[in-house]
Amino acid sequence: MPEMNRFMPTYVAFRFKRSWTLSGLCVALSIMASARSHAGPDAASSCDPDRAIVDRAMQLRNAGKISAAEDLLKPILAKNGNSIGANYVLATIELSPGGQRGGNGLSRLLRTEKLVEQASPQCARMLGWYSLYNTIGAQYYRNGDLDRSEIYLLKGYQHIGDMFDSTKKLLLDNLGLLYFSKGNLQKSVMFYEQAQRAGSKDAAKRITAIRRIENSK
Amino acid sequence: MNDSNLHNDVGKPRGTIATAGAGAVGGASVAAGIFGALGLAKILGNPDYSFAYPLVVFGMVALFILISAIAVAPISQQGARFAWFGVLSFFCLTAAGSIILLIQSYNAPPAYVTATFTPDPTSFADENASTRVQLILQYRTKDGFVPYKDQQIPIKGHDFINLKLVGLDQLETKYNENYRDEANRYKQLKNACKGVHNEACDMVNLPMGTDA
Repeated sequence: MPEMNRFMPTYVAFRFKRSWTLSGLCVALSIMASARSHAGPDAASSCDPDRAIVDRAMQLRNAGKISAAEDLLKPILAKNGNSIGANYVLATIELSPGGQRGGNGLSRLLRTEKLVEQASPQCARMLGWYSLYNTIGAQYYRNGDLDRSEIYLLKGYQHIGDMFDSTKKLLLDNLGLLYFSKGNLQKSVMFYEQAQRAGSKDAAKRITAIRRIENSK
Repeated sequence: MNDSNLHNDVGKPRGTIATAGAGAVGGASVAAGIFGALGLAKILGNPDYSFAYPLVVFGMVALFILISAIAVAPISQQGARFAWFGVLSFFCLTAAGSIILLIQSYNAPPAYVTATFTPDPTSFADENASTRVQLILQYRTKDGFVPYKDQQIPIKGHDFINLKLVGLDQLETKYNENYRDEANRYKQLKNACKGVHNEACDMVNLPMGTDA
């Protein structure tokens, strides 16, 4: 290369060098991209071999086809009772009607939380399992148990960096709502401000309302 | 046998009986008092031992006879016999009743306690408010639970209540009001906001979002 440079005009050498640099960068990027696209589904599968079925069950649940979703999840749980994905989705199904099944759903979520704690953090991050804390906190809030709700929402807050953006917004909004209900308006505004920065659309409206309530006291 | 001998013969036993009677009455009264008090306390304390009531009635009748006998004893020999009968009957009846009750008390059924708070401290908005706790002790009998005693203890609004009833079953009632108060305040807020639309109520009525 030094030999070539000596006989080449400077701009040619520069262009040659730049093309090498660019092509090297392209190759590196393409390797990284292919590695990422290759690692995604495989890594997800290694974390949860039944991921595809769990996703299908979620779609059915969201479409209101509850029994069809349950029919998909139950064989997974019969095979592997510790399947985090299947337990999580089934728990959300059990929570929806309330009553006795709601209690079952919460118990299942609490059992699943233990499994998430034991699972690899990489898997939990990749598959969004940390949203479980937000779901448990929301359920306790629905039951009027603000103290337990706080415990789980704050557990979720410890993992906020590992959450999907959509979950982050929900969790921060929920913490704002929790502290509003607990009468701690200052803390409520603090979390709503974080939610606003995370992209929550409702946070600004809530902050205005709290400030107005605070001023009217 | 002359008048003085006759007088002495009659007088001696009368005097001996009177002395012995007085001693017996004194001793019996102490014993009867102890046993009678024990028996009565047990009966009043636990209505389940209602079978002991007739014993107390007998004891009272015997006490009446005893008092009458003490009054009559110095006058006639018959009165002295009456006095002994009275002392013995009172002593035996109260002693028998009390012994039965004492034996029963060793096999006493377990006591239970329930606590009710009047007014319910969870309804307090003011942390300086106070309430009274009513403890209802119960004995278990073959017919179910029988109330034993009601007791009211004043407590302060935000105290952690730790009540111990020693001597029954080491029963303990704990009540962490701070926790309940906060949860209840939120419930009250939720109820107050039912169907109400303003900024505060709209927020109280908001459900938490989940993406599960």
